[in-house]
Amino acid sequence: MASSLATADVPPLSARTDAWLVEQSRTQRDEDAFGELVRRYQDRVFRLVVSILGQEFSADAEDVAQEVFVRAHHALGAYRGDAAFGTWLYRIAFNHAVNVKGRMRFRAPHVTDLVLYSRQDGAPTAADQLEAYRRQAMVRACLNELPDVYQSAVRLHYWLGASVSEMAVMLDAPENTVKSYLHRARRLLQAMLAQRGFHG
Amino acid sequence: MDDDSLIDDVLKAALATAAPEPSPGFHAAVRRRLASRSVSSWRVWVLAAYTVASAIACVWLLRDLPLVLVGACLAGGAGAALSTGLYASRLAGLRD
Repeated sequence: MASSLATADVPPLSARTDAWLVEQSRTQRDEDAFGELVRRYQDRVFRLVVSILGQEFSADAEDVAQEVFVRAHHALGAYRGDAAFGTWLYRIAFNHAVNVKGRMRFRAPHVTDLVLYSRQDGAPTAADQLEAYRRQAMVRACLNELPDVYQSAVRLHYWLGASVSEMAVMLDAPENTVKSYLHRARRLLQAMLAQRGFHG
Repeated sequence: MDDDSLIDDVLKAALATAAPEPSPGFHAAVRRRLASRSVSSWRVWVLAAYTVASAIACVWLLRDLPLVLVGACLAGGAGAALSTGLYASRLAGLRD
């Protein structure tokens, strides 16, 4: 009776704080506790990774995001708790994704106009469609030349539909700073596109 | 190209593809990776025993050499093993 009462008093892992789960995972090697952290953060870590890798390498995002959690697990001993666990984890995710993308650039596929003409997506291929692809490719190419944090902010906002407050958490920056990232990224993109003869 | 709404539209058009999402098996895959890379306590003991045994074997095989040379050989061997291990870990993606 007493033991069943004691069991009933133990809150489920989902009700525990991050700090408790981290401590449990670190000191007791409790894989379930770390599993709960994975469950809590997998969506945001994945989105952050995708925002850095971009559309060209989004197929690799799952693998990279999983690796982020493996690295975080290995580095739990070094986590001192100065920052929130999420902030620490997002930093690992950002740095790892930037490193991976740096290596991936060397295997970026080259898509020729011929490939675009023969693209089989159910829609009729036409010159104006090709022009649209070209323009979008140019925009994405310019986007890839922005600083990593600007790229991430732009993709989180325009592609993944993240709110400014959500981006502030993931990029570990105040909301005003995130707004300024977006503003500067837009200005830089405008200048780059104008330089390449892009007219809206 | 000097209008904020214009660059907004350009970016929305360029990034209009469906946003990817983590697969339903994401959580399980992370746990599998963790399990495959964790070193259990018996493996730690096996590695420790191997290290001690190989150090003893080295000393015995080099027993006719001067003590300084034996020490240098052990230090050099340990350094080479450590470097190789670190390099292999990097290749396996465990470290940056």
